[in-house]
Amino acid sequence: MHVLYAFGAVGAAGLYLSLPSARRAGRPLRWAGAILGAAALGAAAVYWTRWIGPAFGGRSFFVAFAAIAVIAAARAVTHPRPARSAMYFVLVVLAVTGLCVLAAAPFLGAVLAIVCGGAILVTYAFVVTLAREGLQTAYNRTAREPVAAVTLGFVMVASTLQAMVSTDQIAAQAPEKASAYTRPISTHHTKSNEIPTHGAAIDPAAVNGDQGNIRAVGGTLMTTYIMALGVAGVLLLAAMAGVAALARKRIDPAAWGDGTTERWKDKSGRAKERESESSRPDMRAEA
Amino acid sequence: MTLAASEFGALGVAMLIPLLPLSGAGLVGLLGPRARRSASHWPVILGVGGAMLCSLVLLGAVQGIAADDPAQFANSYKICSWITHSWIAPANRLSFDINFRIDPLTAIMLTMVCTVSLLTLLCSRDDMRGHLRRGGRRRPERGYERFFALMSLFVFSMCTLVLAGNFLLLYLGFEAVGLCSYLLIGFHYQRPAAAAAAKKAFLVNRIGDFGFALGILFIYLWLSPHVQTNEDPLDYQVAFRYITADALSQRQCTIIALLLLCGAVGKSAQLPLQVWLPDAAEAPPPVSALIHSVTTAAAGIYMVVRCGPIFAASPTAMAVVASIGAITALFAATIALAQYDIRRILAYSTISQLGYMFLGVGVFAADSAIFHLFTHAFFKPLLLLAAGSMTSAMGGITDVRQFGGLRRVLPVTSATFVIGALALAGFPLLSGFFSEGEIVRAGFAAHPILGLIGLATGALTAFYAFRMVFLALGGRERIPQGIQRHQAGKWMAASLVLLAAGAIGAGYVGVTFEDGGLAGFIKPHGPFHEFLEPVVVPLAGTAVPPQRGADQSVVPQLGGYGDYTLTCVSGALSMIGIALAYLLYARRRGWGEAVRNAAPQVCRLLHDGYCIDEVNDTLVVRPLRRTAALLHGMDRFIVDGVVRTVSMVPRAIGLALRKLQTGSLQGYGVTMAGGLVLIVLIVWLAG
Amino acid sequence: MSLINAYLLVGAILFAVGMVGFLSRRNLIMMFLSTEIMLQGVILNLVGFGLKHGQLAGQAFAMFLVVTAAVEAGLALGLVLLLFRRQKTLDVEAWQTLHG
Repeated sequence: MHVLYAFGAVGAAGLYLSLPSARRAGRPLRWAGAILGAAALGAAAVYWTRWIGPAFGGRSFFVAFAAIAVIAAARAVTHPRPARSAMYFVLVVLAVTGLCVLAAAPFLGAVLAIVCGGAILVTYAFVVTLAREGLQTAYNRTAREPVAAVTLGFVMVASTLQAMVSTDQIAAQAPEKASAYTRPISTHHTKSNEIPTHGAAIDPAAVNGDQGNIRAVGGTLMTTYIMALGVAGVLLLAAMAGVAALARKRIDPAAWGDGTTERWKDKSGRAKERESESSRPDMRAEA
Repeated sequence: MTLAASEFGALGVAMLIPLLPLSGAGLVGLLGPRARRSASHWPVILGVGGAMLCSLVLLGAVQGIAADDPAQFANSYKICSWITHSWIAPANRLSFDINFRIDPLTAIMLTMVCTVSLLTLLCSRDDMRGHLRRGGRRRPERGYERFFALMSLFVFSMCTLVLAGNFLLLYLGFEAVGLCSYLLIGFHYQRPAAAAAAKKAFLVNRIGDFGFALGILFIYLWLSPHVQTNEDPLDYQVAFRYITADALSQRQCTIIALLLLCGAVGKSAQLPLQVWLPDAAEAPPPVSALIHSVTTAAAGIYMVVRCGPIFAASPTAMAVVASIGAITALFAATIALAQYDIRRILAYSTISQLGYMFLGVGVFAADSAIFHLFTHAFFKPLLLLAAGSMTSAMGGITDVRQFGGLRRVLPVTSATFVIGALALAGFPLLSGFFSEGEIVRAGFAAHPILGLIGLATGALTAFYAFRMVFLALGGRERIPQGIQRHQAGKWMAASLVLLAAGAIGAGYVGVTFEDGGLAGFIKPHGPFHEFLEPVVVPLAGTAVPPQRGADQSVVPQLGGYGDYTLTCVSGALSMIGIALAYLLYARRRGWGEAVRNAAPQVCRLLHDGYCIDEVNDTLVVRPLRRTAALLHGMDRFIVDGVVRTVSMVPRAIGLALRKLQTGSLQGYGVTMAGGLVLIVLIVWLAG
Repeated sequence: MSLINAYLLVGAILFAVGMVGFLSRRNLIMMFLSTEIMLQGVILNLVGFGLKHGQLAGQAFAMFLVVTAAVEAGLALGLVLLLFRRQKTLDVEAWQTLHG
C-alpha cells in the first residue's frame, strides 16, 4: 500500500516538472516530467493488476479508460496553449464517459459526452477564439506557486486513498461495523447493499434492475428527486437571464474601450469627450 | 461656651460685617460689566461703609461687655454648621461650624480694617481713573468694576479671618486673603511684571500656608484624644482651654507654634518669606495700601496674637518669633537705604515695621505690637496712597531720582506724605513715636541685643524715610519731560487728610493723660492697652513671662510699664536720622554722592536686596524646574511610551495580518485548499 | 482494492490534477478548464459511491452536477469575456487591486 504513495509522489513530481514555467531549460525538463508521470502511472497500474490477480482481464477496459483520463487531464493542465488544452479536455470527458458506461450508467455517460464534451467545450472554443491575443504571452508560459499546488494535490490524493483503505480494512475485519459505512442514504431505497464486483465487471442488472438504466434513472428523477429537478430548471433559467444581462454590451474586438465615455470642458469652454481606456498603461491600444 | 445665633444680642451686628462687603462684591462683580461701570464704586463703598459702622457699633458693645464681664469673651458664637461629619472619619465630631469669636482684639481689628479700607476705596475712586477728562470727570480705567469687586472681596476675607472662631475658618480667611492679594497684585495682568509679581506672592504665601495647615492638622490630631465628644478641637475656646491646661507636651506646643508661625511669616513677609512684598509693589497703589497695612500683612500678626496661648506655652517659639522679627526689621531697613523706587522703599519699610511687631509679640508685649499695628495702619496707607498720587501725577515714574521738588506742584499730597514720613520715623509726639518706643522698651527688657536692634532699626527708618522725602519733594522742581500734571482729586485729598489726622492722633489712644511722665502729662499704657488686656493675657506683661497663679491661671504682671526714657532715646535717634538725611540729601547732595561712592559694592548689595532673590532662584526655583522637567520627560517617555507600546500591539497585529490579503485569486485558492487538506488530515489522523 | 475503490481513486486523482491546474495556471480560461476537470473527478466519485450503496442516487446527483457545470461554464465564460474587455488580458494577476 505504501508503494502506491511512492508512485503518487513520483507522479506528482512529474506533474510539477511538466507545468509551464519560465525556466531556461524548460523544454527538456517538461519532457522529463511527462516521462516521469507516465512511468508512475504505468508502475501503479502494473502494481495494481499484479495485486488483483487473474481478474485483470475483466478490468482492462477500466484501466485503459482511467489511464487515458489521467494522462489527458495532466496534459490539459500543463499545456501552454489554451486551445490544445481544450482538446485534451475533450479526451478527459470521453474517458470519463467510458468509465461511466463501465459502471452501468450509460445514460450518465451520454449526458456527459453531450453536455460537457459538446456544449461546454464548444463554448470554451468560442471564447478562446474571441479572447485571443497572441501565441507567446508571458503568463501562459509560467505557472504560479506550482510547488504549493502540487503538494496539496498529492496530500489530498494520499489521504483519500488511505481513508479508503482503512475503511476497507475495518469492513473486512469487523463486518458489523461495516454496516455503518454502507448505511443507506435514505429509506426510500430498498437496495442497501454494495454491488458485488469480485473479480468481474459490474453487473448492469444488479445496478439498474430489470428496467434498464434510462428507465430506472428517469423514474428516480421523476419520483424521488422531482423537487431537485424543478430547482435545476430554475437554475438554468437564472443562468440564461444572467448571461443575457452580461452580454448586453456590444462585443466588438476592434473597440478597445469599455463602453463608457468621459465628458469634460476644456479651457475655452468647449465640451469634449473621449472613450475611456484600459487602466493598465501597457494594455492601452496605440491609437 | 458656644452660643447660638439667637443669643447674640448686640453682638449680632458681627454677622453683618463680613456680609456687607461680600454682597457689595457680588453685586459689582456680577452686574458691574453690564450696569454703569463708572458707578461701580458705590455698592462697594456703601458696603464697606456699612461694615465700618457695624464695626463701630460692635466696638461699643464689646466695650460694654469688657466693663461688665470679661470672661464672656471666651465664648464662640455659632452661625451655622459648615462641614457635617458623615464623610469625615472621626466619630466624635458632629460638624465643623462657622462660628465667630468676638473680643476686644476682634473689635479693634475690625474697626481698623473697615476704616482704612473705606478711606482707601474713597481714594481709589479717583486713582483708578485715567487721565483724560470727559465732561469734567475722568474716565474709569479698564477693569474698574473688577477692581472694586476684588477690593470688597478682600475686605470680606479679612473680616472673616478676624472674626473666625475656629482654625478652619481662620484658614479659609487666610486663603481668601492670599487669593485676593494674587488677584489684586496682578490686576494689570497684561503687564508681565505684574503677573510675575502676583504669581510670586501667591506661591510664597502658599509655602507659608502649607506650614500653617500642618500646624492646624497637628492641633487637631494631638488634641482629639483629649477633648470630649461633641467638642471640636479646632474651636478656639476648646483648643485654648486644653492647651492652657497642659494637655500637650511642650515639644508638641513648640512644633505647633513653629508651624503656625510659618503661615504668619508667609503672610507678613518676614524672613525667609519676605521676597514677595517688594515685588508686590507692581500692584495699584490702593491695593498696596491695603496689603501692607490692614490685610495680608496684618493677618500674620493677628494670627500669632490670637494663638497666644499656644505660643506662650513654648518659650522656644517665642524666642524664634522675637529673633525673626528683630533680624527682619534690621535686614529690611538696611535694604531700604539703597532703593530708588519709591514703592520699594515703602515695601521694605513695611517689612521692617512688621518685624517690629513680631519682635513685640516675641518679647511678651503683644499689646504693644497690636498698638504698633494700629498706628502703622494709619501712616502706611497714607504714605502709599500719597506716593501713588505722586507717581500717577508723574506719569507712572517711580524712581525718585527722576523727579523732585514736588512740594509746590502737589501741595496736599506732599504735605500728607511728609506727615506720614514723620510718623514712620517716630518723630516725637506723632503716633509712631509712642508705638515704636513701647516695642523698644519691651525689647530692652527682654534682652539688650533685641533692644539695640530695635533702636538701630528706628534710626535707619528715620534716615531712609526722609531720604525718600527729600529726594522726592525737596530741591528744585524737576519734572520729567512731557508729563501732564494734575492735582489729586478731591476724594483722594479728603482721604489723605483723614489718614494724616489718624497718623498724628492715633497714638494718643495708647497713652494716659495723667500727671507726670513725658511732657508733664503723658503716661504710657492708655485705654488701648487696657481694652486689649483680656485678650493678650498670655502674651502680655511687658517682657515678663506670665506667672502661674494659685489656681493655675495666668496672672499678668501689669506693673512696671516703666517710663518714657527709652522712648525719648528712640525719638532722639529719629530726629538725628532726619537731620542726617536732610544734610545728605537736601543741603549737600555732593556729600550723599560721596558716601555712595565710598562703598559702591555695599550699595550695590543693599540695592539688590542682599541678592536673596538670586539665592532663592538658584537654591529652590531652578532645582524645582529641573525636577519638573525630569518628571515631565518621564511622563512623556515612560508613561506615554507604555501607552503607545500597548497601542502599537493592535496595529502590529493588523499589519501582520494584512499580508494575508494578497488580492490574488489563486493565492486565496491555495490557502483554501491548504485548509481543506489540513481538515482532511486531522480527520484522518485523529479519527 | 476493489473496483469501486478504484473509481473513487481515479476520481480523486482527477480532482487533484484539476486543483493543481486551477492553482497554478495564470490564464483565466485555463483556470476554468481545470475547474471542469475537477468536476469530472467529482462525477466519477459520485458514480462510485452510488455503486457502493447500490442506489441510483449517485447517478441522479451526477446528472444535476452536469447541469450545474453547464450553467457555471456559460456564466463564467461570459464573465471572462467581460474581464478581458476591461483589462485586455486574460492574466488573472491583472485583478489584484483588492489587496491589503
